[in-house]
Amino acid sequence: MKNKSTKHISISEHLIWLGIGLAILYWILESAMDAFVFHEGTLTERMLGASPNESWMRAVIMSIIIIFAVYAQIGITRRKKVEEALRKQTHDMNQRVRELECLYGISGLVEKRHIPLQEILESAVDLVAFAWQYPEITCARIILRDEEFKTDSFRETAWKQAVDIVVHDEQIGTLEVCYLEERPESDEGPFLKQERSLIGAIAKQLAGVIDHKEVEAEITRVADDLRQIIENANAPIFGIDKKGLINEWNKKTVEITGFDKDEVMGKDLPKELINQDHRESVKKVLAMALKGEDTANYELTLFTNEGLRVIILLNATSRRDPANNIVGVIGIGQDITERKKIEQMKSDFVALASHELRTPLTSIQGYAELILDGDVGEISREQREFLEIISQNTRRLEALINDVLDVEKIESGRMTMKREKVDLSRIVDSCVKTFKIMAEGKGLQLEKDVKTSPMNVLGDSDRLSQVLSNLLSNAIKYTKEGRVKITARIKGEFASVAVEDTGLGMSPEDMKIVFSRFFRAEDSYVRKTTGSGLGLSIAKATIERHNGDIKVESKLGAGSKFEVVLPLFKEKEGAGQ
Amino acid sequence: MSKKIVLAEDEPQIARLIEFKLKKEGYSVTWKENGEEALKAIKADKPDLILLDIMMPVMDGYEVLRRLKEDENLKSIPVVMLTARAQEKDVVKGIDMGAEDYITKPFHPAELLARVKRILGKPG
Repeated sequence: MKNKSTKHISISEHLIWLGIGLAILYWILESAMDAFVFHEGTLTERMLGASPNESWMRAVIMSIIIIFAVYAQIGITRRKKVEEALRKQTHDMNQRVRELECLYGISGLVEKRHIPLQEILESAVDLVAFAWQYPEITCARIILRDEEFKTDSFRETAWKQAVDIVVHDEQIGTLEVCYLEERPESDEGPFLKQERSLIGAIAKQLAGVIDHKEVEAEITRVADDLRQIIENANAPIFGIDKKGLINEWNKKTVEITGFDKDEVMGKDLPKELINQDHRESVKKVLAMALKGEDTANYELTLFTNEGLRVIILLNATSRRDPANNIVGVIGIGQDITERKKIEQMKSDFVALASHELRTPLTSIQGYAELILDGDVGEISREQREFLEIISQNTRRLEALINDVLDVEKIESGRMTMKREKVDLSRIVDSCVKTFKIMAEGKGLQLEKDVKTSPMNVLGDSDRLSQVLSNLLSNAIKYTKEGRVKITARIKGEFASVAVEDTGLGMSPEDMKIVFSRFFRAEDSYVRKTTGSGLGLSIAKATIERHNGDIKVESKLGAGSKFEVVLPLFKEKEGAGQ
Repeated sequence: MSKKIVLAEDEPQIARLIEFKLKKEGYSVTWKENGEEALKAIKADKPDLILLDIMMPVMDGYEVLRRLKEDENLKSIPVVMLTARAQEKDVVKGIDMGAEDYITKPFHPAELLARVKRILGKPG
């Protein structure tokens, strides 16, 4: 290609002289022919016919030859220029193509997933070197933080281009391109203008790649960490897809159920692993989670591969894709089989123990009262007094057993509460009647202040009566002198019953724990009084089950005030079990 | 002829207590220590009232109650259940099954007598 164009140049340079040469040759030939060959007329006359002026004609022909030569030369020169421009353009195009290939190649490296950044940068330096106009003497190097990636031939020379690689406004590395030998300067310096902007573009591209890869690596790392955590968590974690097919099954789940991951993956959870009795309920919970409603503390009953029953306290929550569409459910559980067993054993034990205690108690109390009633004959004053002590203590023991049973029921969630319309003012009346004798026996005044009647709330009258009795009994017990007052009022949407005394009162420290189990005021006077220390904790649980609140105000030495607040009964709520 | 009561109670001392109190008042009491024996006695004696403990060996109080209520000849005899307070739900169950009343242990003998009297009236 290069040789061919050189030949063109040499011919076109001589074309004009060729024309002039030909013209002179023609003149000589004409003159010779006229002198020696033709005796009549001239060559010109023979060619063009008779003409008035021989010399003029010759000049015209010579001129035609010269003009033709000049014209030919101009044409050739123009073509040469066009060809030159075309050649340059082709070269430039090739150069641009190589630059584009370089940029494209680098961006292509990102597309290939799971290729580490290091490998990408190693390939990138080779692509960079090839994009420069003298690839054979071009070398490149990328420095990323404390790592270096370079072409095999890399050597730092005086003919060097360098640019920063910047990610999120932070310089994280450098891209360098060097010529190994000197080359004539084009534009300004050894590198083309395009090459100077190319290196900038490559650096930007590399910055994008590095950022992308580092984020990708971080995501992979986080995902791996999560996977590790899920897999090794000391809690059963499993997942299902939208169809209910298992797609997650961690180690702990394998351990608990006895089913290997391979055995259950892709299987229908409710169908294959839940027995018929619980299937519908489990389906419902999963369906709810698939609708985006989280389920907390669902007791999932499973059977192991050996047929043993396992109870898992499950929190089911929906799993979403990046577009926030629900794609499945993930369940995180807690194996509570043992806990359930222990709870059952405990409540069985409490129930049994209290039943077993009740039988001898029935005998003791029954026979003591039989004698006290005079059914077996007259008894002396002392016999009566001592039998009454026996009787009193059996009642105390009975109350204690009942309290322990109540606490057990509250704890196991088995305390049953009726939900019916209850008139609090009537409960107050009957409690006051019951405790009047006890109060008067201690020389205390028992005042009642009930402004509204009826005062209806929704609840269990026996339980509410138990609460008010407990408050009154405490007030009387802990008051040496003065009065005990019970007040019932309607306060907005609520019914309030307060029991106030002029008794011992409590320190702020005691007030904090007054509703906790086995609380007994620290006082020598109180020590002499009886009680299980469970009453107030039962009262609190009872009132809370009624959606109410129980509060205390007290000052040491200045009495206490316990207030029970319950939502008023609304007709539309209705009553029922 | 005094009114007849069949007492089904597996604890001899409690049975003795009840028997004593009721007999002293003038009722005639037949004591049986399990449900099956009691059912036999009821069928034989046709008592005016049955005092039925729930937790009993061989046949428990509910089973006795169920069989009584199925028997056309016996279903009208009033039944008073004896329960430990532990079985609150059981009280409801007993009443639902047709028991007339219930007494929780431990009880006051005088209260038991009062309840029996309310149902049966004077002993003879």
